[in-house]
Amino acid sequence: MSLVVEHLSKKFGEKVAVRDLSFEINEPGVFAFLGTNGAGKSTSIRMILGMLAKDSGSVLWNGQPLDIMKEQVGYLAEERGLYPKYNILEQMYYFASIKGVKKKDATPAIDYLFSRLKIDEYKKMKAEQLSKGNQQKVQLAAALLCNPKLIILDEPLSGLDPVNADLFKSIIREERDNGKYIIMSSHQMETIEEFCEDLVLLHHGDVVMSGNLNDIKRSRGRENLTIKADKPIGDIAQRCGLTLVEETPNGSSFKVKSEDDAGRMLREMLDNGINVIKFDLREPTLHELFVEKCGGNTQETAPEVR
Amino acid sequence: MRIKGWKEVFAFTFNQQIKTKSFIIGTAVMAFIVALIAFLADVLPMAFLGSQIEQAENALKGGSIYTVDTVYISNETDYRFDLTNLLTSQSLNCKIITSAEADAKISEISDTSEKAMVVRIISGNNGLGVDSRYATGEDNPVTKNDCGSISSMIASEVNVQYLLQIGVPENEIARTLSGVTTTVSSAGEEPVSMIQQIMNSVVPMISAIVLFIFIFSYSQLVAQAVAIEKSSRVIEYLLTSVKPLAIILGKVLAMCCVSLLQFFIIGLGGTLGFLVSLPFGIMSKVGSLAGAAADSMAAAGNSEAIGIVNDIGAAFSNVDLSVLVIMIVTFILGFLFFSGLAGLAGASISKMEDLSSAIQPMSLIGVLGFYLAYFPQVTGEENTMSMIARYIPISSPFILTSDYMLGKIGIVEALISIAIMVAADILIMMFVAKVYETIILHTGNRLKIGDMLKMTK
Repeated sequence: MSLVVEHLSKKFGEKVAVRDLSFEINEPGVFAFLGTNGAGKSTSIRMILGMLAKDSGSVLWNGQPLDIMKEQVGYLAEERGLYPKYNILEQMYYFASIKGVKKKDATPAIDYLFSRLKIDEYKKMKAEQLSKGNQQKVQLAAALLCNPKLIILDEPLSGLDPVNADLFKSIIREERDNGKYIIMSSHQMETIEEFCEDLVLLHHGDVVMSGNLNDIKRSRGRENLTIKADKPIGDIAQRCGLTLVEETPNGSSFKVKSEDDAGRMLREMLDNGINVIKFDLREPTLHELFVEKCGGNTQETAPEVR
Repeated sequence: MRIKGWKEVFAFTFNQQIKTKSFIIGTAVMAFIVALIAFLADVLPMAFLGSQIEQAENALKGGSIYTVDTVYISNETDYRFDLTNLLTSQSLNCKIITSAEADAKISEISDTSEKAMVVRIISGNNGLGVDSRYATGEDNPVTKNDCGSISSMIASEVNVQYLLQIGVPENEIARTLSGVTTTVSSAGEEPVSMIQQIMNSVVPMISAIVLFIFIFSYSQLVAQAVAIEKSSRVIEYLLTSVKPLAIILGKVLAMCCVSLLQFFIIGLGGTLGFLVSLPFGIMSKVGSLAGAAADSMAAAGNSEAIGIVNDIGAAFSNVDLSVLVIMIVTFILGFLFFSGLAGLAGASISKMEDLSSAIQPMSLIGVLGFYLAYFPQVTGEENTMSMIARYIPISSPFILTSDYMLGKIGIVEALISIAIMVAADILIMMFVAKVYETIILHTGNRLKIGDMLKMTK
């Protein structure tokens, strides 16, 4: 199975919402779909799902144009909701019915998901009586209701407390381990790093980074250096060509041009009798890459790394 | 084109809607009120027309059509007259008395409740004469008019029998009495009876109001339902399984059925109220008498009671199954028209607080249609405006049924009006289909009609 998105573009009037978006998911797992607010993520997802007409491009699922009326696709939208005045269980049966699942077949799935999400006792209540977090659980249950092969989760963890966020993560992990193809959008970079191997990053409708996360990091090399010492090290760092990024109680963070510069820095500190408490040379985090790609002007960002 | 999922949307919307407290309580209260109105509407007229209806009923059930029950005949001539058959045929008791008894009887009925009259057949210088005296007394219903009619009838029969007795051949008598045929008719249009006038104006007005309330209020519920799906963001989920057109179609049809269900439950309430009123009400009497009354018009002469019965009967003479069919068809077509517009209004907004301003244009169209249908009916007469109103899709749903029921239009005109409505509905649905898919995911400010029109290009 595979999902292939090719050259997807969309304009609203003169404004480009998405330009030439392409990516592939060839094996089960969690694919990160990232971007700043208003970057075009939701528009792209709607085009992938066929809810919004695309100006150009194609979306292929197993080599065929994706038709969500035929394929079971689980979708947790960013702007999600339930009927506020209606009974939760009846809403679940309705969601199952429009996906072509009969009540008797939906019941075990609902029972399992509600039990797994610890919301069994809310089945008979109206949506408006539930907390936002519990409504979100119901919506996740609705997305997973028909055992879909392809799941799209747009900001699944937003607004959740740590306990419920962990519960959601465990369910996403379970789905991934069950061989599902999951596209996940999130602003929580740690979560993305925890789950995803491949990603695409959008900024103002343009793809500014895409590919395998480890490859991207490796291609950048270990360029982030954090040092904590018992004496000031600013002069030495300047001599060694290190660029100071920030200073925190946990130490000073630098950008290094090469690992040799980092080695030279360490030697100089030791030669000067400085007691080095922490010396951490590492690859950039996803958070750092995100900020680097989307924090400034799009035009100045580096060419995408594949 | 197969529209997958509309049935599920329909079933869910229908089930949820009929479970709402507003539907259950509203329907129960309205059914009760209509039952009460139906009961009173049938029973109250009996207070005003009861005696006349009863009189007509007596007449047509074999009793006298006159206020007189018994005719005392005193033959004070040398000829023999047999009036028994004549009077019996008119359900009148015929009692023969002597001239002496006649004086006593006249004195007796001068202050009595007996429904009687005394007829003396006398000889005079100018030939035979008929002298009639009718009973008087407090609460005695016998009228001079009825006695006059009976006297004329007796005089005519006496004349025939007299001519036979003096040797005039039967054919000569027949030729002499056949007289000259006279016809009387109005110079202008045949005047419409008061009851017919009331029916012509009241029925269309009530019908227009009821249909307007149902079609319009439920169309607004469609707008509300669409707006709730958008504002609560459920729509995003639904669109992963069903097309926007299936959603709006399922929703509109469900609301249409909910409103029809409510309509029929309320109608059932009215029927029950009417059935309860039957033993005391006017309609059952009219129903049983109307047919017979028509046959008895000649015999009844100018009987007011029979006239009223016939007027009421004539007013409802067109009420049959076709009226019910036309009512349901126009209701559905009118509903599709307005709820299609309402669905667009609901889809054009992102926040519930914008709903009232979004449905304003539709409200204006609906109110305009209602007044187009309503105002021409005030006079109860046919005019240009009423003719136009029944062919314009914004007003025809409110007026077509009553026009057809009252016989103002025939089946051909009704079908033309329905065909226009169908065409209008198709156009509206094509417009909705074109625009709805684009605007359903729209967020932000409310879309204006101009924005939607641009989307169709």
